[in-house]
Amino acid sequence: MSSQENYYLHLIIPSDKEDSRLIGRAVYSFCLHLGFDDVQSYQIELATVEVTHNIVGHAYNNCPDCMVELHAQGLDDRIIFTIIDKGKPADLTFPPCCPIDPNDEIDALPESSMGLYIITSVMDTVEYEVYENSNILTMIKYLPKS
Amino acid sequence: MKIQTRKSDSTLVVTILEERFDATCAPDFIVVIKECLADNNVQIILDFSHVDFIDSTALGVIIKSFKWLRQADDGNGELALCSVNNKIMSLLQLTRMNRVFPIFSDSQEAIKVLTESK
Repeated sequence: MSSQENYYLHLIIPSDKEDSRLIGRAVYSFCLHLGFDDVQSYQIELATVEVTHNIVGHAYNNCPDCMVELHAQGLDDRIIFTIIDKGKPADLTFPPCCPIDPNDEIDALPESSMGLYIITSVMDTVEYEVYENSNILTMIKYLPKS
Repeated sequence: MKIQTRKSDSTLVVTILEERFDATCAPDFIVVIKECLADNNVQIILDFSHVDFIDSTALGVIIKSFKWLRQADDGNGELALCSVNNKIMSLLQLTRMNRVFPIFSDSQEAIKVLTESK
């Protein structure tokens, strides 16, 4: 990406987990275009998909008639995501279940609730706020220094 | 969910023919594994050679299946993964599941190791 150029991506999708694929594919391509490698782009895509799934499942309780809005801004050294929903505010207080301890008993391995750990591990900054009737998640990922 | 199965001795290779293995097709995967278990297949290799993306829901159902297989046949069952690309491996490393699942470079190697371990 040439210096001083900003790139923008803006998507609004229905609150359906299947439609999170649209966000995923768009974010993956956007990240590649900005200079992230294949694995980094996948991980960023994964983080945005996990956010979308949490919104659909928890904020909207799987009601498909609502909207999820994603803004992405690509700068010289970072990408800034803002994901907005108007559902129930998130409960971010539950303890992380990952990374797992490989020495744990097999029954202790988590079968769900790994999304938040993935999001916070992949992104450099994650901030969440409720403003008026909107839940706003802002995530930043810096490009690796070359 | 599109899959392909083939039997090699006592091992069943389940090739996932979806580019994206995610929350949309994860419930179907559970049905597939239940059917495999109902047919007394307790040594299963999941071939990821066609899969480019997985999410945490897919990882969750793989973990669930891993538990079922490990408990099957008086503890002699096994679930192994093969042909995992770098992206998927990065998720397994992030969650440390790469240290739990048996992971092989391809189905041939996986069949060889699982057959010898019986």
